[in-house]
Amino acid sequence: MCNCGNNFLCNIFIAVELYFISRSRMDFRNLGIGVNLACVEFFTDTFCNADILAAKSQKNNFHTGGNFILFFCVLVHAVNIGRGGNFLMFEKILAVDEISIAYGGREIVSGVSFGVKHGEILVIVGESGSGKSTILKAIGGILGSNGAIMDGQIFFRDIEITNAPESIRRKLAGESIGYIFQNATASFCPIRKIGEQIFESVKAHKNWSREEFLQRAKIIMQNINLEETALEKYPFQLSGGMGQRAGILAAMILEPQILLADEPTSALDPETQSNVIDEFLKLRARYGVSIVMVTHNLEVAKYIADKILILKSGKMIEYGTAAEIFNFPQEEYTKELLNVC
Amino acid sequence: MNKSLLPYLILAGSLIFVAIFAEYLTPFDPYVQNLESALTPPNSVNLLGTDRYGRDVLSRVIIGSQTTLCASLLLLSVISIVGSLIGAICGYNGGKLDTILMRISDIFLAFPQMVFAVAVAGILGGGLFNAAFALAIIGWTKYARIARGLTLTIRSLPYIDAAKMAGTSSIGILFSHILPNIAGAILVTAALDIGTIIMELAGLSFLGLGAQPPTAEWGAMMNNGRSMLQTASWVILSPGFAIFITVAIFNLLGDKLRDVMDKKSVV
Repeated sequence: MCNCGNNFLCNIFIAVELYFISRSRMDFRNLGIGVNLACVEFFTDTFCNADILAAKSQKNNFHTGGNFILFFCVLVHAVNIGRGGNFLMFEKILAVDEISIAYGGREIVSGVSFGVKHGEILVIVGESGSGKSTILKAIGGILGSNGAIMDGQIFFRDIEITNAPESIRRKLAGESIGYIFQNATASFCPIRKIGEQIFESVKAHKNWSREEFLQRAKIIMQNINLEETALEKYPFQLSGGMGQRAGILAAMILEPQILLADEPTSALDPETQSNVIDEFLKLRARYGVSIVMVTHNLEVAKYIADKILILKSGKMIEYGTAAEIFNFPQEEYTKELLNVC
Repeated sequence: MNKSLLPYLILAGSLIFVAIFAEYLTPFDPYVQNLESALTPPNSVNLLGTDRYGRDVLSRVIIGSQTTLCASLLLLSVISIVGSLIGAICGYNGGKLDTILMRISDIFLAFPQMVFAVAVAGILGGGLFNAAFALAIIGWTKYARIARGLTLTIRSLPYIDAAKMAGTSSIGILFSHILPNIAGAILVTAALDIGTIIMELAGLSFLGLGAQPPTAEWGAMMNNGRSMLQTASWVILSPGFAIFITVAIFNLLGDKLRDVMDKKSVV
């Protein structure tokens, strides 16, 4: 929240600055022309808002001109702050610092760092076996008995979750960190109904009645085009697309702050793929959720990502905004990947 | 329910029905002695004859089903539940607890089951409870091993990770996800084990380490009649035949159950 005491000027400045940043990636912070530099620093550092990002998603390209919708949203929110409204801007939700992960003593991921802000979508791209899913599992704390974080730190907000005890993990899991699996259908227990399982995970965190759960589930189900009958079905009765949507419902029911999506589209046909990706953008727009998605599909990454991390054999090759990676790739490997794409 | 399972369930259900309502089904009091009619061969009044104390063998076989079946099923329930729980906990958590409990189970598995049970029952003294206890001490290990193996397979499946990522506690995962998923295999093993347990309990009673006189128990009845195999064979053959029929029915049920479960898992 802006506390500079000069709301009007500050907000105008922020609106203009955010607009230019969004268009050109130029950083005006160092020019020293701000009315209140500290305030601007804070805003630009934490720039993100569900509506702004929704507008961005609609444009689907951060750099194309004519960002009137974006500018309008920025302006509305700047005014909103001036009125003491709740600007959904944010601090860093997830920070991964120089993390190294080993399976059975063999290093799979080494020295990977990245950060995700509120409402931001980070896509981790790399070929099979590059360690993409391993990173997500490490964040989720589900590396298994063979896997271990050898070095580095993972922070969720200001909580270190690198090797956090089960009690802390359990508190965050589901409620703050949602996880969507590559094969979402397989992420449901095969002998129990979908609704029963999701309700059970809700009960681990909230004291909701079944009616309240159903009410909330229905809203999300409508948003992601999932039939209500899905709750009464067993996992094997769902199609691939429905299974993936059920996975999204399970991950979103508690409205977590960050979604970890492990190749959520790889097992789907192109049409369902595109639907699921659109669902993610809608989720971000609606709930302001941050997303870390793993994929080997550069088209998907191009479509959805704010930031991209390129991995090869467990090492970070390149990390930057989607525009930087796609327009100005620095590394040979990235160029090769883009050429293949 | 699978229709092919129905005949076996009806047969096993009939046996359990007889055991539960044995007191109402016996034509004579199985414990009343009548030395005047001792060792009467099978006839229209005493369908399976009488024993050396003049007790009706059919009545004793019927009431004996209560002792044998109830003790066997109770024992089986205890060892399968306790063994599965220990195995699932060890398999899910791993670590030192797993190592310690599995080494203990290895020690028990190193002994032939019946020899170990005879030794334990011999130390504890005769009695049905002691015989069952002796069999339970060694019986849980089999279930613990099976449950542990199945749990190790299941715990790496995505839905266990998903449950963890939904914030479900370890106990919740164990009871809601792991145990229900290994229950089928445990049930089949238990169904196949009923026959063995009946035989072992009857065996201990036959050796004088199980049910004590005058309790009617099939193994003990065979023990009492073994000296009369050539002179009054019905005394030993009747409980022997009862054991044979019961074990055969439960083994067939177990086999069929396994087939049905295998088909389900293939589907």
